[in-house]
Amino acid sequence: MRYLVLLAESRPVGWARMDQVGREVAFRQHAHFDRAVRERGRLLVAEALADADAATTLRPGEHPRVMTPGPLAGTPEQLAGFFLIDVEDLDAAATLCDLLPRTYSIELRPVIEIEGSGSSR
Amino acid sequence: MRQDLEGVWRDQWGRLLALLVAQYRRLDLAEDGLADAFEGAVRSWEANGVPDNPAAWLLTAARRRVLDRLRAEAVAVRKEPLLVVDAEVTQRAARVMADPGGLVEDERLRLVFLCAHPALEREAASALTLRLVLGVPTPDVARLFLVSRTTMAARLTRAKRRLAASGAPFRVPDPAQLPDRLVTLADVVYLAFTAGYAPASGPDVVRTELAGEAIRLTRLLRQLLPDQPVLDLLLALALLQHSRRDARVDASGLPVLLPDQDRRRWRHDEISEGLTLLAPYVSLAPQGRQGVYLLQALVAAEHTTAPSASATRWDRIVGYYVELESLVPSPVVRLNRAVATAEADGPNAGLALLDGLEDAMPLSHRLPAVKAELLARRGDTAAARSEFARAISLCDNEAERRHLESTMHALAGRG
Repeated sequence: MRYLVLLAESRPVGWARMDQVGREVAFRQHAHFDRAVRERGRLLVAEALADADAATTLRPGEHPRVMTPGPLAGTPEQLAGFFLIDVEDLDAAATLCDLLPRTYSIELRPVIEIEGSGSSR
Repeated sequence: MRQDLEGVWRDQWGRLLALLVAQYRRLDLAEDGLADAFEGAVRSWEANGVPDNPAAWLLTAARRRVLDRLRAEAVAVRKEPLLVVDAEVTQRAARVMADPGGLVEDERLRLVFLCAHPALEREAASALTLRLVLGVPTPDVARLFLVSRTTMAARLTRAKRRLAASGAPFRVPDPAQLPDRLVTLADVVYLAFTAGYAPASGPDVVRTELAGEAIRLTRLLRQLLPDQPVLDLLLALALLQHSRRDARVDASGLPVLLPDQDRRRWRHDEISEGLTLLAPYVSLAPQGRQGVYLLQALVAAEHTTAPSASATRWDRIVGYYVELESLVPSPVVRLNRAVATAEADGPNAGLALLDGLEDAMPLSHRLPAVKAELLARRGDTAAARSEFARAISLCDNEAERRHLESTMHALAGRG
């Protein structure tokens, strides 16, 4: 099953406040996750995201759409990065996410297969 | 239902359902197909006698229904999501379907862990486990959780969809995950038990029987997963509490509180089974979520072994609640601790522990009910009366409300 793994951090974002050692540890944890996902399934996409301050939101309604500064959700937690992984099931995805830094909130969102779209696998 | 068919239902439902799930990867179709097969069996076995291998008969009938539905769906537009099932498991299930002589146990364990998956809300998992693993009919599950039949049916459907859509697997968890998942499983089963154990409105005998179903499930789990302390403790706790069921309601359906219960009506065989299960763990330090079961079982054991209400060792019970509160700091535990403390050290000590608890549990009728009782005990009649009134206005359980009202009236007579 493919999952979009969404990493969220509470603000102020932990990364900016980390010292050199903290960043080193986080890097290693990410590298460990990468390797483990590839061993157990596939890592399709992996990206880190710019701070939510850099985000622009286009809301539904008017055309052309109006740009609004800021991210979609006004929650205290903001997206920090995402992966697209392909592993056997939810338990496998959750076990792999245990390797990531503990400070993240993580959402595991299944990707649905749309028949005939050619996008699946 | 006929006696022989009911026996087959109890023994085979979960096993047959698990096989159908392994093969077709659809909880809804498996459940409907098997329910239809049992219904068909009522008529067919009446006319033709019970077949040599009832389980095989049911499996064949259920399979036919599932295949019919799948064929009908093939022309429909929307496809239901399929459960994540190992290809190997599907193959093995197919072999059993072809020759249902020796049904496998292993699939049932997968079904248990699927229904009690942490991807579901605990209460939904609890209802689904009763329905799918034990085959408890939906109206009975609804009665247990005090919701309407349609609400429960919708809740079960949502839970089944969610399991497939979220990718929750039909397999036994990895060794690394197993300890956590076992405790989740214990929580799910205990919730099914307490739902039936909590007082209902009126003399609702069926709900007590359904609490017994949770005990049956725990026994089954101990067979499937031997040597798991949390399951021993769960069974001990449930048995010690369930043993008091006959004495908990009087002839008119009103709840009888612990001190007033006729201890001769407790089931002493169940008490001794519970104590035997508990014995190896008594001297262990309670730790983690498993410790929560140990401490609750120890409290229940103190109650069931006290020769009379007045001889209860409240000092020990207070000690267990203090430990319990350090493991799970929750307002409910604090409330129970206050009740025990009041018994051990008087109403003022109990009341002191309740300070500021309203914010944490504003809708609970138990908090003002306990306060009222303790205030009355120290002679503060006016304050007690207003707490009783508050408790009565918050209580939505008919039998309990009647009990509160009669206590308040007795108090009015005194004041």
